Amino acid sequence: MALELQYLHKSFGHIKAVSNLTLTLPTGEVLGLLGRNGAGKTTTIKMILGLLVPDQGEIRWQGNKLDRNRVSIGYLPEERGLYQKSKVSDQLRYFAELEGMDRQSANKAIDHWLEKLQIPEHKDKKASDLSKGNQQKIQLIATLIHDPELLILDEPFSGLDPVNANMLSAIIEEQVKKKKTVILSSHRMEQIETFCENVCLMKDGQAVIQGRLSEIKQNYGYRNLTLFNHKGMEEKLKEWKVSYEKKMNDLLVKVKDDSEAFQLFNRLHQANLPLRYFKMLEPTLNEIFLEKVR
Amino acid sequence: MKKFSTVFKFHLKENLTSKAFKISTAIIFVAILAFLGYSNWANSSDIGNKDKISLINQTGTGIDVKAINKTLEETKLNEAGESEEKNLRKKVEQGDLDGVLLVKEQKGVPALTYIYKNFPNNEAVPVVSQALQQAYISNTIAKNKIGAEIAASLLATVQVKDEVLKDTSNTFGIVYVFVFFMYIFIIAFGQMIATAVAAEKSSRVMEIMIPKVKPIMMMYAKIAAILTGAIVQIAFIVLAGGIAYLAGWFDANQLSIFGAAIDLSNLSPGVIAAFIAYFVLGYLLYAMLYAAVGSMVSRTEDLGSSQFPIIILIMGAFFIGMRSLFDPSTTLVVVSSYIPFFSPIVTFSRIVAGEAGAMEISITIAILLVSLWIINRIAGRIYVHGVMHYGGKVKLKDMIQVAKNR
Repeated sequence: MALELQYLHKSFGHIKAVSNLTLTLPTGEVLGLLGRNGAGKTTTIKMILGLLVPDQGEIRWQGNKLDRNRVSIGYLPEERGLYQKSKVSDQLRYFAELEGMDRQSANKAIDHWLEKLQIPEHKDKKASDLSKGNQQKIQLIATLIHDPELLILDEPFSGLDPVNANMLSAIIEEQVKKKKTVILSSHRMEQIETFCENVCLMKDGQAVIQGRLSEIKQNYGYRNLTLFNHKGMEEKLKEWKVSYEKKMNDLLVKVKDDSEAFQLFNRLHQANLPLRYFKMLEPTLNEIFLEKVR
Repeated sequence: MKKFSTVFKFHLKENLTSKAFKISTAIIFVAILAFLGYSNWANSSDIGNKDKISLINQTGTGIDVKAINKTLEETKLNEAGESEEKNLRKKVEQGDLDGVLLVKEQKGVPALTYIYKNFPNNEAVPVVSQALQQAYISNTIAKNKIGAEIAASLLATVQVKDEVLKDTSNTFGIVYVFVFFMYIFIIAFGQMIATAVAAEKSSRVMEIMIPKVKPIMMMYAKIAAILTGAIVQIAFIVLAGGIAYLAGWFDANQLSIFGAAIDLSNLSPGVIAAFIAYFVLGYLLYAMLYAAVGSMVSRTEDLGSSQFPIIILIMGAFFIGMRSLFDPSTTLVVVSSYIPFFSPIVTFSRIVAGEAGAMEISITIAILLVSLWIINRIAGRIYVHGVMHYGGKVKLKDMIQVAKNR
């Protein structure tokens, strides 16, 4: 296990920001830290970074107590900011040097990343002269420049246009392929669902659901069955006392498992109702989120 | 230590290459050269421009105008006839003439009347009156046939000899310059520190920085970087002064500020060492206060009101320092010299005035060091928590709370 959070507690005054949070994340995997605003995601991240000291509990990395000096972490804060009056290359080199890189390799990495994010022309500009999107790219470079083992991205997609969001997705994917351990925090499920094998859904400082995404979905109480709304379908469902939801031309039925679905399929067949499609899907992360966190 | 130098270098570069720094240094440099050059030019062009005073002598006592003119540097005296008095008065009123000296006889003794508009000429009148007195006395001696010896003893004047045990007037100018300099320096660069910290925080760069560097190290590196920038600026001021000196624009022996002579002979190595010591300690003390305040506000706009208490302290130090110019041994000044916030300015001016002994110097430095250590702890704590704290305006209560917490 690469990263382990054990029984973390943190309160501010009488507000419990995080309580009894326990998490494990294997090396080279991605964790989606989900939750509404104020659920305790950023507090958790700040404790991992050592910006906040937990009231109780421990954070371990590769079996030892996490020591900021021995693990290189790339952190993209939720609130973005750069030195407005400094040149892009100057501050990137500054950030890189503070992470222990020498001047030469820092310069090389800066050129590499600027090229990769298609903004080499901004190298000698001041941060205040860049557009918001480009500043975000510089910020991303600052996060990745020292090739960190542990990546923590707090709301990485907020404020990005679709093109830049795509570019960021590609970069995250690349980091995942490089077997980096990644923590993504977001309140937008659909954006990070594709990356995360592990999720932790937080509410009021506590983990409501956590574990492997595939298992969570499989074991989550129901599946979504989608049927085309043919004439007579609704009456039959009412007759059978099957609850459903109407959505455009479809009828949505929640079923517990496969056998319940097959049962319904057989009844529809026996009732001679035509079928255009019979689609069964796992609930999306978004649905789980909305139900659990509401 | 490597991180410290990285942070230091970054902020120094940011500081030295900023537009504000370049422009203000250039303005100071040019302003000093322009001021010294102008005063040099104004002095030299004044020479051909002597005050003109006319003398009307209605008595029998002779005055040697030519001889008097030789001793006068800024005045030209010329003799006029009795009939011209009315005409000359008019001229003085219209400003064509700087003054008229009228010598008349009153009860057998010559009397001098000086007619002028607005500003009297301080040079000619004493010289003329003395010449008149002397001429009258020798006339009287000759008339009464008094012997040479008696005459000599009659003419002997009572001698007045000044013996000042401690003269603060000659240190006045130099203390004034240093006190003023410290005050301006601390206020200007302290504010720069607070602004830099607040800007770093409000732009949220702090969020990237804190995981990389210990906040307290960042604070010291920044204070050091701004101090270095300030020293560069001072070097330019000295350079401008040096250029003016080499160009012969001013005479080091005749420097003055607002009429108080700056006597450079008071600048002993001891005084310079004291200045550096008190200046560095004072700067550090106030710099930490400023950094703490800067770290507590979330937006640079809130800085103004939050740094008010610090400004009050510096103003207090400044005014007590000014008071010690005139009277370096009053109770207020003596007591203040032991208060760490005041002692950089006040004790220093007492040292230059020769009032502070070795005992006082060592005690005040010890007090300064101890309070530096305490403030370092408190400011460091406020800084570390402050940079992570975003919110509305900061109250003193919050700062105390933060300083109390671990």
